[in-house]
Amino acid sequence: MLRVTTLVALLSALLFATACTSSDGSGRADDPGGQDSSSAAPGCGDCEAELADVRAQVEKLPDVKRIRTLEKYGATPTNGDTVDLEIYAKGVGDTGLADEVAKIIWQSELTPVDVVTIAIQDSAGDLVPSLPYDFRDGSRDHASYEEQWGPRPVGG
Amino acid sequence: MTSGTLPPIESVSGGSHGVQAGYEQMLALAERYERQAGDFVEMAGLGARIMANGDLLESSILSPGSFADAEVQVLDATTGANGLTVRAIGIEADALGVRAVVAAFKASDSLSKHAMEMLDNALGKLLFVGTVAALPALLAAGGISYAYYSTLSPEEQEALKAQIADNLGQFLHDHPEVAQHIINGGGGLLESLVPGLGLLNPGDGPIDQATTGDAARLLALLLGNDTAFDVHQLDGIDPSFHQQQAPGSLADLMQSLNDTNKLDADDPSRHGAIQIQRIVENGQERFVVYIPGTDDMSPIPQDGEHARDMETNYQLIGGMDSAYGRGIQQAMIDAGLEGKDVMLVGHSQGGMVSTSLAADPDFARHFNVQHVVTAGSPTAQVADLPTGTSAIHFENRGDAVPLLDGEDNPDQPNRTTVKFDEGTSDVGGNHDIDHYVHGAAAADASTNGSIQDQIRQMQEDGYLGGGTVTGVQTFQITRG
Repeated sequence: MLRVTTLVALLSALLFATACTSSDGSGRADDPGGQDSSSAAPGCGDCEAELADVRAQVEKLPDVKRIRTLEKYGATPTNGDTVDLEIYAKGVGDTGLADEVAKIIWQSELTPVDVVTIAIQDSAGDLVPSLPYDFRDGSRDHASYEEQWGPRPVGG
Repeated sequence: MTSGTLPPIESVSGGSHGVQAGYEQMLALAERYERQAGDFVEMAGLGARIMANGDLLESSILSPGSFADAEVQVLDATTGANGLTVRAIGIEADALGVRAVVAAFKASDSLSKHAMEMLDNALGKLLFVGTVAALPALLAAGGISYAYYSTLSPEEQEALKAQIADNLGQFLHDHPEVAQHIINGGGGLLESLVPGLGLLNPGDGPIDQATTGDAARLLALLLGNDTAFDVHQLDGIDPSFHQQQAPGSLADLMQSLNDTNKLDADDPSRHGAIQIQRIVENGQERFVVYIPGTDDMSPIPQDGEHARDMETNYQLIGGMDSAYGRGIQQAMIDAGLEGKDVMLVGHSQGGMVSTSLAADPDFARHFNVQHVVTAGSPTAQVADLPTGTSAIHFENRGDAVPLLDGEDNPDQPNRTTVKFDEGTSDVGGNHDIDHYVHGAAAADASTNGSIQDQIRQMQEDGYLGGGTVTGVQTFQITRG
């Protein structure tokens, strides 16, 4: 019986546990069901005030017609803490709006934020190409964001 | 395109420019040589027949000298030292040589793979033996370490844990091949832990030399190997911006998959959701099925309701049927996809199940799976994809999940593996889909032949770069 228990424990560890260990101690592996862990996570919790502030600032941008989606998701086994935006723009093509929105989130009190995904539909109905912004410490572009937009006002 | 730089592509294996495709090209060359040699032999025979032609022989009386000269020339050109027959033999020998080289390369590949399997198996056995032998020392070291650990403040304990995880993560990022070998040693470890393992039958006959697949199958059996499922359609879910538009690139596919993955991020009652996008161009329809990965990562599934749990992972690594796979098939039938052209796009477990379904003859009877795109998925357990299906597998360096098959992906001409490096010491974070959006964008920008051929094929088949999205359906798969 001891061997079988050891077998299950060891092989489970070998097969999958490595995949769900997060070095930041966020316990993502213990967050089954992809549940929103924002309330339990360190940071701004439900972040209602912070999201409202971001919304207000984004809506003030001259090229923003309307925000369709503004959500903050907690970390899941398949994604980090994410801020997700979908925006109808007034202009056509890439006007640099995604960078402006990312800057607002970078400089906001929202935390933790690992990833920001911004989808913009221009006034012609086309999707403006934009890749996720990786805000994690140590990410390839972190230093560049810090250089352009200053340090994040809050950790994570 | 905004939002930073793209990650470097570290390696591309398989596909139209892969080793296996090279072998096939060499064998095709050998076949051409053989055909050419056959033609030469036929031509040589023709020369002799021409010289034996009655009319020609009769005409020789008119000019015996030139006839004799022609005869010498023809015979020299056909059966002479530099004639067609000799050349045919030389070309035939070349063809044989090419075939021998390919056979030798293949034998060498096979031997190397077999040797690696044996070594990894032995490594697994050694791991157990070594652990048992060193148990007193390990216990002593553990005790001392724990005593030291308990003297630290909670902040210092957290910092130490983070440091250890960071170091392990960095090691995994720097040496993914070591992790792969250790995982591949799971079979040997299993043999050490379970005496008389050879008597067990995990589904495909008694275990001879245990592999990672055997270990996974036994774990699945321990958990019940359940495949019962429920499927129902979720209404009222608007497609995201990305999903409203026909994908134009590999990155677009990943963005839409990411949007499907987010469906249960703020609503756990939607776990197990997949989405099916219908694209129409010039009256032709095709479907993209977005299949996210594991919801419940507990080694022993928590509530018996999630189809995307560890039991499914064990089943898929072990090459078995799963509730998730069967549920996806039923959802696609319910969505009216029977007999239709489809592309499967999956992350993590979603990629595992996509690859497994594409290779399943029963699934192939229902749908024409033209393309599979996987991100962060172990897929080597599916040894052979049908030639009518193309697959591209993305793996991020430092992501442990694609290593869980314990070996490199098979090198097939219709199967390309793209490894890119956006990894850090954060093992869990390296698995996140957003990295795979970046990796796919790097592939879009790549000039590699195998990648470009895959993209071109997707475009020709109507999945990328054209058409109109006429609907996105959402289905939920749970355990039955």
